[in-house]
Amino acid sequence: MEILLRQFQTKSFLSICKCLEPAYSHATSWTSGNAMLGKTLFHTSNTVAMPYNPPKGPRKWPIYNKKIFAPQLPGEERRPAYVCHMRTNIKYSPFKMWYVASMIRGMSVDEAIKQLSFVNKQGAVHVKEVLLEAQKLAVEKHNVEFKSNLWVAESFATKGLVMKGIRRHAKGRVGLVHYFHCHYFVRLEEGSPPAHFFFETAPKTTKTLLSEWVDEMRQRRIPGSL
Amino acid sequence: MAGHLLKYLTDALGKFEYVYLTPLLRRPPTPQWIPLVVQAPEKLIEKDESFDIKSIFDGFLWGVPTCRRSVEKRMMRKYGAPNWHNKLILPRKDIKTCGTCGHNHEAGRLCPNCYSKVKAETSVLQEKMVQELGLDPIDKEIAIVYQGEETQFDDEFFKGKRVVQMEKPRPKWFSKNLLQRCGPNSDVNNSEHTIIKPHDLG
Repeated sequence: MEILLRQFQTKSFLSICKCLEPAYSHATSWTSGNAMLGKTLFHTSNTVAMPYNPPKGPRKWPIYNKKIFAPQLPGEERRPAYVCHMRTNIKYSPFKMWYVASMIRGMSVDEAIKQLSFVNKQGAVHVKEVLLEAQKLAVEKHNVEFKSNLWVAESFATKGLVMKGIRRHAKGRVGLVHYFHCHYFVRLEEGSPPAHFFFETAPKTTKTLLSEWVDEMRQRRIPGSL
Repeated sequence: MAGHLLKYLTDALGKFEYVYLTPLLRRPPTPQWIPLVVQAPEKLIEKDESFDIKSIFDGFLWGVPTCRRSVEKRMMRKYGAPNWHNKLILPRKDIKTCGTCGHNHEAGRLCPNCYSKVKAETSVLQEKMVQELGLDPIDKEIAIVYQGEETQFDDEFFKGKRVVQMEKPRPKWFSKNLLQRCGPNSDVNNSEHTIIKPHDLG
């Protein structure tokens, strides 16, 4: 894999690696030393002159978990518990992850995990792991009584790190290669899943069918008339 | 006066040539003021009536799009169509739950969780067979006897068979009745065969 990181030519190698790992990154951190794991404890870089690199990547999604709502009124319908979870910088294309993320929208958690076990995609493995983590979090920290009483309210993937590389073509021509990463976000809500998550797939009532038929009939025109 | 007359005659000659000779010669007359170094081209650039605009691609513009992809084409590529090639991942309806262990598996396939147990037991049996019988030629049947089953079989059972003794008890799911042959040549109504009741199946 031929990668030319032209924009990082002035920075040190270790600072590059530190840039590439955001706060909740799935990419393992091998830049920090840990004697327990058998890694070095001494500094291999200049700790004084290095610039401050702020954490990169999405950070707002789990903040929704900390939101405190106003106390509910006596007659008000009970607000269902929810948990927001994510995984950042998965080495998978966001365009491909979209298919997996969109499949599980509106499903119950058990059904989603069951279906993902039989999807032949690498992204499905990550999504399944995230769902299991979120289920565990919901029960332990977000006051959810039964782990099966959850459904997938939101599930989407966004673009993460994109590393650009160069490849050869015939006759001395070059091509760009993009190495995509994606972030995956999911929100589980307590309760049973809705009967029809998508409005378009829901069966139409006789009233709507009738009104649509009447509209179609009224739209008819004689061609060439005044 | 003579020079003026000479000029007049040469001009007249030039005009005569221009009017009468050029149609015969079918070439434009060379103007007298152009030096001989610069020669006008014999043949002018011919304007080809059959010029195709797409010949600009014969040069270097290979492998580039010529038309903008319409939104319909883009949508078809991304989402597919139910009657064409469906790109959306649809939930599967052929996933069954195993009655024995509770894990999910595809319909028409063995439960991987249960089969993994079978595979493990098979490998243990194979190791034991290799240990006891070695690499001798396979010319006799093999009788596997688990712990606590020696009394259940008589000597006639072991006649013409090689015995493999297992130190562990028989697994609950490994039925003894698997060894009973059932096929077109088997005689089910034979009095020698005993009818095995469900509780003896292991």
